[in-house]
Amino acid sequence: MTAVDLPVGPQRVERLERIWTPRPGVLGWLTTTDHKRIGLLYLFATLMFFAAGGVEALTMRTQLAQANEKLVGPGTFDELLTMHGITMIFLFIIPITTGAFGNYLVPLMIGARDMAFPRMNALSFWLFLASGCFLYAGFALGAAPNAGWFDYVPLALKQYDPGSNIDFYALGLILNGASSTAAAINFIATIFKLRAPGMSLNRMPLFCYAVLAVAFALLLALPALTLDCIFLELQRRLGFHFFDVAGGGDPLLWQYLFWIFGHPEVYIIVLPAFGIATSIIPTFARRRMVAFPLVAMAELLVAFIGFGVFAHHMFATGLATITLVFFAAASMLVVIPSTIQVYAWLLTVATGAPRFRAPLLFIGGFVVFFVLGGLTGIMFTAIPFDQALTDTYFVVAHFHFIIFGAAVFPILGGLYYWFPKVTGRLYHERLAIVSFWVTFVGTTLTFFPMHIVGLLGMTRRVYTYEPGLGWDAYNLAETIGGFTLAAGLLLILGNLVWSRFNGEPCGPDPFHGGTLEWTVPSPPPHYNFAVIPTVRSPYPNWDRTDAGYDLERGGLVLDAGHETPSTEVRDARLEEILSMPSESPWPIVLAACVVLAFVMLLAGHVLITAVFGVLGALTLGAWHLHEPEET
Amino acid sequence: MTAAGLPATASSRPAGWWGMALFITTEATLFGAIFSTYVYLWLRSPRWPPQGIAPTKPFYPLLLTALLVATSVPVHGAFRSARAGAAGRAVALLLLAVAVQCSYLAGQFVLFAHDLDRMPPDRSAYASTYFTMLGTHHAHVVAGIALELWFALRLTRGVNRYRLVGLHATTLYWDFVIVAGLILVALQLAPR
Amino acid sequence: MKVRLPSTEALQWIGLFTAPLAWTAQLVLGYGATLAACGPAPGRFGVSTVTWEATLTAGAAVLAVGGEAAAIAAYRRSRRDGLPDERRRFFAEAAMLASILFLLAILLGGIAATSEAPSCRQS
Repeated sequence: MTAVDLPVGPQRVERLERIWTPRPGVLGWLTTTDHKRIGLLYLFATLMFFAAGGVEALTMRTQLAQANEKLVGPGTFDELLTMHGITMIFLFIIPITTGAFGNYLVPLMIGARDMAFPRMNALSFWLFLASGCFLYAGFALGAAPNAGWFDYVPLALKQYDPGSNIDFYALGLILNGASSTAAAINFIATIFKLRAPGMSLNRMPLFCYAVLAVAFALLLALPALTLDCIFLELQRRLGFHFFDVAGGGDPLLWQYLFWIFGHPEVYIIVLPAFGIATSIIPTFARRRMVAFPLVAMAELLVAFIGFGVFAHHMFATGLATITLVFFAAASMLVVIPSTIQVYAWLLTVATGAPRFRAPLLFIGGFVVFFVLGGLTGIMFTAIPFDQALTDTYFVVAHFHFIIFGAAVFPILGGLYYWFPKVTGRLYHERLAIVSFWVTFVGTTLTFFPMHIVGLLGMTRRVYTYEPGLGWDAYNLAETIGGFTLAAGLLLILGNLVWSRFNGEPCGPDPFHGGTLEWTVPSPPPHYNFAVIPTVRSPYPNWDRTDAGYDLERGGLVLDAGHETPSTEVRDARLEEILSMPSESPWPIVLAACVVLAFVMLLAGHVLITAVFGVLGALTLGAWHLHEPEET
Repeated sequence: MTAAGLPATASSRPAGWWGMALFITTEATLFGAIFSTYVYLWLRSPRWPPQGIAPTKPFYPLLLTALLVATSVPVHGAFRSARAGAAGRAVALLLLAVAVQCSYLAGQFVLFAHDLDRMPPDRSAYASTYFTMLGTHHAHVVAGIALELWFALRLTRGVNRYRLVGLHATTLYWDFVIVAGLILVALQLAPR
Repeated sequence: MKVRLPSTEALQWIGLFTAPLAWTAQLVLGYGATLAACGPAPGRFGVSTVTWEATLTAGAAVLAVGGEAAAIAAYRRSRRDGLPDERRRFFAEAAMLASILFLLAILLGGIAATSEAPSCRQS
């Protein structure tokens, strides 16, 4: 234990240590069910995929830097643009925000010792990793998905894309969706049932509200994508008719189902970033978040209303005018909850006593990009504007401002912010500030000119262009920007790696944050809390000093086993003590059975697929044979 | 209880119940998407079923659905028995439910095979959607039967909280399968 | 005749969920009506789009106003310190804002859906 007052006697702490010590070595990591270890596994895996997506991006940017460049041909370019989109969305941004940040932080923020379903948490990770490897296996076999990340039909049908590229896409996304669905169920059950006593829903951190909104959105949006991919495979492999007019189907069916998933997806991407921003701002503004209930509601509202605006991705498909106008109206209104949040953030900083340390700078960058990206988004709700500029670089500019500017910047800020908590060391502040500016300039230089070149008529997904169209200088600038951006990211990575080994050691609360994760040592002990806290406000770490209340009042040490309390959903009254599993081999075994079944399905061996399915079912049985101890 | 002063009553909606409720939410959305696809294509077609395919005759589907609804009784009865501690009766009711559900499935497979003959799925979007819809539901029925058999097996070793919560979750799941089945048969028979 | 209001707890949930569900219903049913009216066999179901959309909008708006009223009632009845009133007040505040937003969405959507004629024209 570090130099923190032990709330309970050293023997009990020692007991907790013994009960919660992980299994050593690689086997310990492969069979872990500890949310912190799983969070770190997600972090390393997603950063690898981020690098892959980045290489894809830089290759495309190099190809586009000059007119008639011959670095890559059109076929390869199609694979690069498709895999860049799939990687960044499904293999980087969602897993890093939910799997890495969400997994590591949610139990700590709510005063729990683990997630509600620790083994299913591990399963989510192994399924995610498997889905990433599955999709990239396509690259290795020269059959990477190549019809864009939206994979529109009829291009994606057997007739026009006969290889197995699209089969990798469809099956890979179904697998990835299963991982995210399991994670979403876990987050909601954890947030509902495992909050510390006294943490009623109005005292829950705003980051947890963001995760709750994301989890519900995932649960309700993923089935549309899964179904779309199932239809696609049935049509490609068995000749069913869903998307062809001749067979009585409709190509727009693909788009409807895709965007009923796809639009909520973009909120799934950006909401955790909002959550990170609403965590960093109060700490560095040294003030509670303005309009806390409205910000919490706005997070849920953005996710909810996001389900009702999806057809704005289809304004140029020939839908009836009445449909278009309705969705344009709804799309204008979805801006309001986001704006409420922006005002709340700005007012909190303006009325606080801000310290512009690196995490807050990244949030500043985030607000700039989010406002600009949001404005170009609203421009698209004007139907004639959308119809003129759809599929041009103006759209690419808009969504990169949002996805890179508004979703990645908070992640970068969050990496700095929680780095001391995870490692027990401070990052290098001066280098962090430099890394922010390089990244900010790089992002602006890469994505701002895309607005102009889009207005000048450059369309998306082109692998090259003729000289003399007025696009050349902008494309070159964007490529220089891309490499600058990469340099900024490398500076961040370098800072974190260097600081991991050489950073100044820190205690539990280097930034004086208000939420529960700052009350435990850095890094947190395996059992998180020696005493499960009893909470009386949304900022327990501040109020324990201000109002002088004792977080350890409940005396819940729970050292008879691997235990954490379960509480009532609304007001967090204590109900029962849950016994949590420790290491288990079944999650990784089940993930292996599932991915092998998918590989066999891809290869067309139906019988062997069924064998792996049965093995998976048997694994589930073995999993549930191990029951928690009863007291 | 391991800590002093904790309440004696355990939660009526423990984490395991929520896990199943959330899983049902996502599966219900999947069914919603399939049902919406069927309705969407119906409204986009001049004729549904298309020319040359006769509408499904209602008698057997309705009979089988009634059988499905009836299985709700032994399934809920099994949970109530287990909660009262009567493990043996719970096992017997679960096995009864499974027997009826298997005959339901057998009947559905006969109808499925017969329908495959008269309207191959690779000839029309109507048949493609029809069989995907039905097949998805049958898969969920199989999963429900597997869950009930599992609990019948585990309950032979006695009742405990873990198994009871699991059985409660299973009854919730089965109710969902029945509701989905009702909507399914309505959509199957509505176009005439 | 005295009408007994639901409990404060119930009013909180009614306030929170009524307006969003009303907007969802307007969207889903309205879109279905559009599909039916603008498809290859219009009039098959005997609908006139404008009538449908206007009715849906009116109904959804009434429900949203009801939700807002419930939220206000829940807010006014959660005065005490501590739980559960503190939590009810939190949700009631949130519900009061959300219901207005959804009412706006319902009305704007209704104007959009009833102002276009001929509404099935492809754009």
